Amino acid sequence: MLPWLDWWWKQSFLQVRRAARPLPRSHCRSGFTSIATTPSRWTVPSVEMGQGISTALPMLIAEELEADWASIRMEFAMADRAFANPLLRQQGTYSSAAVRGFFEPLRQAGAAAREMLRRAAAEQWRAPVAECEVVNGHVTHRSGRRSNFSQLAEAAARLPVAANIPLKPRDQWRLLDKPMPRLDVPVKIHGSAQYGIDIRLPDMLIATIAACPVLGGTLKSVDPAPALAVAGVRHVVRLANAVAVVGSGYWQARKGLLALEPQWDLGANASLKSAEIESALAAALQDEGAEAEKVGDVNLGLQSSAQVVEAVYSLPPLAHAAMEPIAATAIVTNDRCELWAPTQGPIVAQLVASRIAGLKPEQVAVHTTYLGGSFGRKSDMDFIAQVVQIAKEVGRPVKLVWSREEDMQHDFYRPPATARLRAGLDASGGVVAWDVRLVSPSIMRRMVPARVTNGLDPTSVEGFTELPYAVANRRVAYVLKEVGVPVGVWRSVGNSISGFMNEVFVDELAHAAKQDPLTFRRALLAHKPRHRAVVERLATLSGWGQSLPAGRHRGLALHESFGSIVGEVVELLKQEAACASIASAASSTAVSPLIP
Amino acid sequence: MMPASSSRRTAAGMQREVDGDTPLLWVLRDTLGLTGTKYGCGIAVCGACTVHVDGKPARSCMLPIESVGDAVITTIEGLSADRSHKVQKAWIAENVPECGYCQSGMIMAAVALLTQNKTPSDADIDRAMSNICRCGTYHRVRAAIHRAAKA
Repeated sequence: MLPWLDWWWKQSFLQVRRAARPLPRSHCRSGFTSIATTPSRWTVPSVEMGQGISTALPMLIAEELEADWASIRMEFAMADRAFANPLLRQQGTYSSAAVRGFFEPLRQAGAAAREMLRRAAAEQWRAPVAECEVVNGHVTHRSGRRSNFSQLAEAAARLPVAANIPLKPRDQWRLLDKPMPRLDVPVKIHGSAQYGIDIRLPDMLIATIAACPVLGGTLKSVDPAPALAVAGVRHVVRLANAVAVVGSGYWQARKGLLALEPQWDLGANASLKSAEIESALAAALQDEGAEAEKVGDVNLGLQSSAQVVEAVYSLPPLAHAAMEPIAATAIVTNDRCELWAPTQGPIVAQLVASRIAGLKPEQVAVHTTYLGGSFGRKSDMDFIAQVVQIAKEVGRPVKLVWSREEDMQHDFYRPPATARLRAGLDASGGVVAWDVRLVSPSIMRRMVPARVTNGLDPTSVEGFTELPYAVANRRVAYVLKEVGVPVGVWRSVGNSISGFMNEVFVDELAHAAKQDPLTFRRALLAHKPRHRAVVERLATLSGWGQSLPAGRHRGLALHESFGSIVGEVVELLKQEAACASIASAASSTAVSPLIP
Repeated sequence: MMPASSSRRTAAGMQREVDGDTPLLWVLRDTLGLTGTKYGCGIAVCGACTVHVDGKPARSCMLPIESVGDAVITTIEGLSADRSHKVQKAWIAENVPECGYCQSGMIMAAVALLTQNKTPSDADIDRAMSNICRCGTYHRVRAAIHRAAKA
């Protein structure tokens, strides 16, 4: 039996250097890459929801390891602390941190493994290490000796872990600067990729669920008989705030669910209406809020300006609406729980499952499937708690599948947000003051309360603070206002709100200053070379400045988040009074430089 | 009612009893274990459930099995045994999928388009391809359709 090459465990000293405390040795002792076999097995520590990390992360190892890219079998890590993202210090996929967090450690691990394989070959062949070349999954020597990695793995594993190997300079990259064919594409064009909703197990039943339509409400009672009368329905399970029907298939379970008439206690939010939410947010604009940022003196700047421009923007809650509705599968016994879930947080899922099942986390095995989109939704654990509870009660493997309607209704929405932006322009169109007051419910107050300090949720104001435009006097204030809507992380979190509001507002300022919106931005980014480079590229790509045919209009926006700057120019074709279509779009991205 | 299928997976002739009102989608997924065809909306709006019924595209989430009769059903699994269909090859060459959940339906819709129109224009593609993709792969879908048309 060939040994696992337990890179991550053996290189735990690298993690100790980075992490606040050493990671415990995991009960699942496989490393990121097992090259004892061909094809080699590559364990991806983050989850694949379309963003491509199931290709990007293996690329990081493969580049340094000199692996044969054609013979990689990629799979996803189970819940296991050994696969913690060093940047997040947790096994989870969020905060745009997968490539950033693993960029150096995985390359170092690949380089160390490469050197150990080279040395193992050199020792076997009694040749100088420097004469042994590593390329494409093999070590070779000019004498004609040649071994592939799996032949050398056992010997290499016995060597001390190589350390401080210099990494390849950028001009020697084979893989990292090229668009590589994605490793997950073959299964995704063939129907064989397994998403959370696709799991099939022996003896499995399928459940679907309806939670109380009002947040905070509970289930008072439900007569299960109408559901049980439907052919194929086996169980009706009551949860604190929901009722689930379990049957031989989704269709049968859904028919059973629709036959029920659950009695809800709608709770404190019973009469909440959209209009109330909007007016509550608008009214809260009068509050001063918590100061998130202060540069110079905004009041003085506004007073001394030639022109003040003010606008109030309002965004409604936004559903994630991933193509794959919420689904997960669980088996719960007295001493074991096994979970298959499209989850962005396997360790948290393990913890939640263990609590519901009444087990220790070590007794819970979590498999991560492909995610049919997520955009942050599947980092919440509500559906994990549901499936474990249902499986525990039913005593058989259960796959829980939410209907599309349930998925849209029971989202953790991007927060509704209302903000007043005010800016002062001087006589020559420079911006002397920029003042933002944002009102919204807080995501962190629910998800990570410790991150909210003195009424400030830092994720709410991201993108408003650290405005790239050159403005001497700036202020950002945040009014935390709960409005009864459950809120969560929606891809880029605060940035899709601040990006929209900032960029629409900059256009208003350009208009007030009677300047072209691109020229206006360019002047305000004189001190920001990366932003300016994006603007210049957009100008070139879009032919900015060239006249447009009648009925066509052009606009641009750019925003920085998580270290990358994205800009777009869109051409709109005006069709009828309130209708336009996108005629074309140009996009330019400056990705955070991980290598200086 | 037994659904006939040209998919290789059921070529062995499975036989099951299902309620006549069960949509073809759930017969495929839950009864026959063919999970390549996806549930996205249940109201035939998103196209993730697209299969071929006697060679024509159909949204299986609202197609009761009792109305299928003896029609030949082709699912994504049945396009080829080895990813060799020219549309699948075009999808690989153009790196089309991201999360991939919509892609089974997208591919089946594209195959149906190319069967009916060998060299679709961009306007033809706009008209025929109404499948929803939340990741926004539309531009690569378009490129892959053009590529497959030339193959």
